[in-house]
Amino acid sequence: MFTFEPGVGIWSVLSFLLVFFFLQHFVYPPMRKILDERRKTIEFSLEESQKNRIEAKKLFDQAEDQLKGVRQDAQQILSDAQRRGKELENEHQARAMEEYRTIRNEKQKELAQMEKDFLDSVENHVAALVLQACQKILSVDLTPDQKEQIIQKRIKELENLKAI
Amino acid sequence: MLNFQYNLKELIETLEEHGETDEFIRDTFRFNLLADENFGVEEVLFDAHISRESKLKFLSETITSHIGSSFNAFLEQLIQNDDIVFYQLIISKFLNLLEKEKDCLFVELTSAEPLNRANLDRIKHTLEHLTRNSLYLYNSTSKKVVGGFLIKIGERVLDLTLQNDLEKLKFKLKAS
Repeated sequence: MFTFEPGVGIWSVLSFLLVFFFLQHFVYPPMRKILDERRKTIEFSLEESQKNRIEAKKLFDQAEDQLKGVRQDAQQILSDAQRRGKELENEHQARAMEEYRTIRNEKQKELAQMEKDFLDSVENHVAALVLQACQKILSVDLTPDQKEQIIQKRIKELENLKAI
Repeated sequence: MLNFQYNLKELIETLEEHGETDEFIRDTFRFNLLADENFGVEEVLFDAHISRESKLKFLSETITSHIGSSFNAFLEQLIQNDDIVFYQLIISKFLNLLEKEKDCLFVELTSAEPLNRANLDRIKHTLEHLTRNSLYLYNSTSKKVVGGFLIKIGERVLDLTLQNDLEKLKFKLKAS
């Protein structure tokens, strides 16, 4: 049966107090210190981690912005290239058209000149033939009297001149 | 007979001394006419690439029979000195000098047939009146002139031929 013995009770209380005292003064403080340090380390790590996360986020945002910029630049460059290509194509087309027009005009002028030269040549040839024919007819058919008449007429023309 | 190195005064004196001035001047006009009417005269004589010997041969075969001895000697000397290419310049200076010496103008009148003395006198008188100068009139004939005559006074030409009328007619025909 359970009986209370005061001596055992007193010694038990004294042992408990002794152990409590020992733990309180010699075991708990170093353990608390270790735990505090560990806590601080963890807190520091957490803070560092948070900072790194923020930094990483910032870098990521920056990278994203840069990427966005690069994409925009690339798009701009592509647009510029396309626009320039179109402009060059238009320029080449315009130049080709201009050259074509110039060549066509030159050829038209050449053709017109050739036509004019040909007509002039024909006219000159016909006129020369007429002239030769007239000269031959005149040289053969003029009588001495007619020749003398011409000479007299020319002398009169000469006499009528005011100056030479 | 002639001995000169383009001393034109000496040439004039020599010609005067021998009384050959008129013939010499007539020959210059005759030579101009020959050069104008015959293919080869200018092409052979005035070409610097043709040899002296060829030119002399051409001269004796083609021209000598139409000109006097003095003018022929003058041309021979120009050929020998390779100065025939400057003929026009030399003869022009010669005529200018002679005109100054004699205080007159040398006029070449080209017609189909020789004009009679009366007509020549009328023309000479008229030209003297127009130029206010005394002049020597040389009448040469050319088969190229059909009717009328052509007058050359130095660089000036007065065309009173039928060809001139025909040429005018040709231009009128072309213009119309």
